Amino acid sequence: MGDAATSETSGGGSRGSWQRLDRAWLALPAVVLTAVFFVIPILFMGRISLSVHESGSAYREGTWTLDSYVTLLTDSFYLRIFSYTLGVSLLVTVLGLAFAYPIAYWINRSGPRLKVILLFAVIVPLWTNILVLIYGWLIILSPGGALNDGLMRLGLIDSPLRVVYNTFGIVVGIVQITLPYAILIIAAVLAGIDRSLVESARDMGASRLKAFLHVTLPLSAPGIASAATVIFVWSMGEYASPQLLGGSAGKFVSQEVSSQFLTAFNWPRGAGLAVTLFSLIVLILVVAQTAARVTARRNAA
Amino acid sequence: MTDVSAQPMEDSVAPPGGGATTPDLEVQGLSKHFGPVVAVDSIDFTVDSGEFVSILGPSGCGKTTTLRMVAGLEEVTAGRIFIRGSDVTHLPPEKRNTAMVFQSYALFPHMNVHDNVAFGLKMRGVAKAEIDDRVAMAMRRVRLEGYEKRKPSQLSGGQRQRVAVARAIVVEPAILLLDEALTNLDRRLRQQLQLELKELQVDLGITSLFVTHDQEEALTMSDRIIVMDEGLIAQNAEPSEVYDRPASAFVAGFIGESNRLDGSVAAGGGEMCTIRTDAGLDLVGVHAGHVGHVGRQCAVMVRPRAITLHADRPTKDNVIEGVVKLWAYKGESYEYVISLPGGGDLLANLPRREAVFERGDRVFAAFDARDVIVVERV
Repeated sequence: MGDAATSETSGGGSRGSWQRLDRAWLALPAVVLTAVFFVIPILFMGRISLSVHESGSAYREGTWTLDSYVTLLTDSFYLRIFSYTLGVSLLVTVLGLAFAYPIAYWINRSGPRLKVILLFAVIVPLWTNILVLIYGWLIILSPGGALNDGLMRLGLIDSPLRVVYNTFGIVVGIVQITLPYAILIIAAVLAGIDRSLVESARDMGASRLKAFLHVTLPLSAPGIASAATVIFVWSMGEYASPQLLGGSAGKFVSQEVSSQFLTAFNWPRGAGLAVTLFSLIVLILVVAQTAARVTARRNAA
Repeated sequence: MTDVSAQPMEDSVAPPGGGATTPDLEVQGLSKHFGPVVAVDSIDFTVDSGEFVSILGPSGCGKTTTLRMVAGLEEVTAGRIFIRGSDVTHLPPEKRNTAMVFQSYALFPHMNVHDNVAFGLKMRGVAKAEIDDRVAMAMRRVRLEGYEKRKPSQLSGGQRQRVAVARAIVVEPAILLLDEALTNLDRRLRQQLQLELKELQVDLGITSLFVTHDQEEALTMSDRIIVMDEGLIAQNAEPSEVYDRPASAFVAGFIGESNRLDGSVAAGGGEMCTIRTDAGLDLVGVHAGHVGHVGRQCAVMVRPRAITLHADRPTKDNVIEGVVKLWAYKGESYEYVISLPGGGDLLANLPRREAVFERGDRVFAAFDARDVIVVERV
């Protein structure tokens, strides 16, 4: 115990600032990689979005205009696409958390052998290509698929349920894809909560439910927030699920980006869509994080 | 939830004199098996109202498991647990009127000190005004007024320990359970808090069951010590009796330092008996009643402090001649290791002024018959 206390104090002390600089150098490969493959392409994208569109070619180089943004922010066609993407993503986030939390909780409470099996079951989909996962869902959910076939054989339904080529299908797809990440994040945070805290709450007179609500849930909030962020950001940018499982109910931003670039050949508008989507995600995350920090501070006071 | 809070209330209202014959805690034939491992093996004990009882033993002896079964945090394999006369064996922890101080303190990191201490009262449905009064009183008791708004992470180890104690006593439990509650503190602080905790316990008259592996802590704080070894109770007695009249070689070896010489009973009769050690020495001692008849194998335990060293043969019940092998300065005393003629060493602890021997000196080690403890050989 004494050793731990000593190393704690010396670790937090002020070593030379050169050492901190030294440590910063370790991030160099990641910084270079991010800059070359992430920051620079986004800057290119931003530049293209501010160019003049020219029918016959993608865009006219060296020109400056806000045309694509004016269209995106005023045309109700694009506003519908953004609101549909946002609405479905929020729904996916809530449903994803609702599925992920109980599974993560179960994994955390399981004995060592069951835990390995459950974690394996969670990780297996991560080894599978997303398109394979989605085609799997098509086989299950399509009008002549396994689900409808089974229900009709059992006589529970007369005609096939519409569970794919609509919003439901998209939600199923994205929840499935993001679920392993959400489960692993929440399970890791739950595993870090000291068992004796829950025992102490029970000992102090809290029922199983109250101990969960007063101790486990608030202490796992950081995990819930991280998982929500991963699901939401993933969903906002998702392309495959709405393309393959969605229908006429609505279009995701990424689908429209694709059609602007590849079909309409309007690169400035496609780039403008991408930049707007990116900015919207950053804005929402900043607002959510600020709100969380303010609430935490108010609770502390 | 309402009936949960009602039960402890009724209990605390009961007249203190009326339940004089009912112990606050009674454990009957309590066992705990983890698969094939028997952690606790059918033990019985009681803790009377206002009593401070320690369960002392090495790690793995079943002491913490016993405490956790009393708290309801561990399922009972067999046996029964009564708190103030009512059977709680199969009640969940929140329906037992116990309060535990954990080794890690288990303070809720997301709550400030006030909310930590208030937690038990809040769960019992106590009105807010009363909660605030009782929390303030508990904070005064542990001398932490003014720290209510701090988070546990902003407190020192000793302060956290005090918050954990305040959180436990504020609910006025039937039994206060302490699981190695002082182990994580440094030595000075631990000794200070031992006395503070004992004072608090006496002032409040709170019935306490304290689990520790530290014999000094158990001797300092307890009204009674239950020594456990391999799931069984080795001895259940007052601290002075456990120290002076250990029931077995294990207890004698675990509590305080002891010299152990193996032998067998050479002559019995009356209170005294003569033991011939395996090395051929004859020693006179007071035997524990159960050691029994002549020829029975036994062990002789002598405390290092009971031994005096002399240059000339003294007239004492037991005198052994030996050679000083080495000595060490211990601050308040000197420790001598004496080589015995038939092999083996004898540890003697002498006050500073009496220490005048050097390595290689021939000395006579002497001790009274009443300082010789004869126990069964295990």
